Amino acid sequence: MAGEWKFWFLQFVTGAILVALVLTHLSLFIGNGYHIDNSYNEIQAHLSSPAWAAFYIIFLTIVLYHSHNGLRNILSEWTGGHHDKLVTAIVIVLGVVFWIIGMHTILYFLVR
Amino acid sequence: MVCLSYQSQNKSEEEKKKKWYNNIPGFKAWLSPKYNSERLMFTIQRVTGFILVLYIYVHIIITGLTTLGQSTWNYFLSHYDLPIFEVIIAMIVGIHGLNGIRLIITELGYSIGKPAVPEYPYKPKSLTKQKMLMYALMIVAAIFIIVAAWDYIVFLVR
Amino acid sequence: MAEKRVIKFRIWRYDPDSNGKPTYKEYDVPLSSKVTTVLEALDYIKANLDHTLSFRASCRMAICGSDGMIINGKPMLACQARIDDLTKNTNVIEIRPMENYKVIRDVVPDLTPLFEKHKKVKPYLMYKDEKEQFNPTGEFIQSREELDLFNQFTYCIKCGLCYSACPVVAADEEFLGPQALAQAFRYCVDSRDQGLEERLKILDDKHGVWGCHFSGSCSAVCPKGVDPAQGIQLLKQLIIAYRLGVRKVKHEPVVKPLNTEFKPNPKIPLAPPFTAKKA
Repeated sequence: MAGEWKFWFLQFVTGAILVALVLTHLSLFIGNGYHIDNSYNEIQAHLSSPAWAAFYIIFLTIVLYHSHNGLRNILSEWTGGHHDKLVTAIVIVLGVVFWIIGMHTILYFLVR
Repeated sequence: MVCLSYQSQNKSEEEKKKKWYNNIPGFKAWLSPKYNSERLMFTIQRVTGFILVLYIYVHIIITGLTTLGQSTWNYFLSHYDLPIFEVIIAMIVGIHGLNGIRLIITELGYSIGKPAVPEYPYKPKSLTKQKMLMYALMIVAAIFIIVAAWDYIVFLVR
Repeated sequence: MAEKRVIKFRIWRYDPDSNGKPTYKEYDVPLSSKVTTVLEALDYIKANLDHTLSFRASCRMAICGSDGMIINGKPMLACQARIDDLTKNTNVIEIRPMENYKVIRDVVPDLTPLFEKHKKVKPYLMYKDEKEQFNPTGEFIQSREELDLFNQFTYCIKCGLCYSACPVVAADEEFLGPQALAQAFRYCVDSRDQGLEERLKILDDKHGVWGCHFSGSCSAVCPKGVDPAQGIQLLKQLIIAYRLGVRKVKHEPVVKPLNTEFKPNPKIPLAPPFTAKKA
């Protein structure tokens, strides 16, 4: 199947974007110390802002694309290259399921 | 001698092929870093990538618990929160991401040199030209790991 | 005179007819002026110690590429592996057949998959005007720079060591392997070639060029300095540039009419007349 280049070009692009996104994501937590008493309110305040919700929607989508393209690659090679269609189907289903769960969490506080 | 050669000719090709020893290690070869340091990075990239996929699932499900209300969330955190786990994941992210930058650069054909007539003793350019890049990024990864683990170190010292 | 040094060879033995498992057998080989490389030691064993040992070898000078095997854990050509270099700290040399192949007998692997995959990438020049290619009216012109783009990859001797070292080949049976992909690059960047579109059907695939993740083992073990890893990464660059429509370099093959008005240099004497009759 020719046209595989798209997925890998996207893999490189999303990989580069993820470096920036992960740093932003982690910079919210690093340096705050460990505390659990107030974390719920923090998450709530955070996700209620539309800008951060948009950030997390983009982050979730990109991270799921990048990880599931990688997973497809590992599973495809692991099965000897004989079950590519099955592997692609599994990976798409997993990706969609976790995207829906993630979107539910992100939008829960925004919509409420 | 004549008899021996007659016997071996008598066997069909298929029958002979069945007896060939299967010397193909399968996916175990991913986990045996040998020959060169890029191979070690290949192994690390695979393993960390796979761990991160599993972590993303766990992370999405756990953050999804916030939608069940504050008491559930606090109960969960007080019982199952393991800071060391988060720190290890941060380290893995650092290594996977910074090695990933090297892979993006090299797989797009940069910093691996230009083809030229090989001269003995052969030093493959694709393995020599990007060595410095690899070391530099791994030093950055080490710094990132220390920064990421800083809270935890402070937490432990207290 | 110093005593002759004796090296212990541990050789992987497998007999397909005995239904047994592969075993290691040990041979003591004294070094001499006639036994300096691993291939010469194997010849010594076959001649003097055990004539049932099978191995494949032909030119004994790293040109034919038939004696690839894993020597002390690293894929090498037996004729190129000097015993002196291998036994600086040890007296034992361990020989195994190449990985990622089926083993026919002892250290003789079945190289069929390597050659099949090499055939798949169409390793020959493809010119759209077939009439011109097979009944040429002129000659293709190529600059030094255009030659340098692929010259390195023509040094490949198809020994299969890179295929044996590759971790992706080990798991993925469909993957083309470093040798075939490096050769595909060699033909894709050739200024005389127009077969990129045709080859992309095979190359632009999960099991084509995108199966490579730059572990670099192929380049680390290549006995001729071909550097297949470099070729594969450059092929990826070429494919992405071509698909995005930003590829600049591709030249149209230039056909220059044959120079028929050839005048011999008077300083050079003419060739003597034919002594045999032309058929």
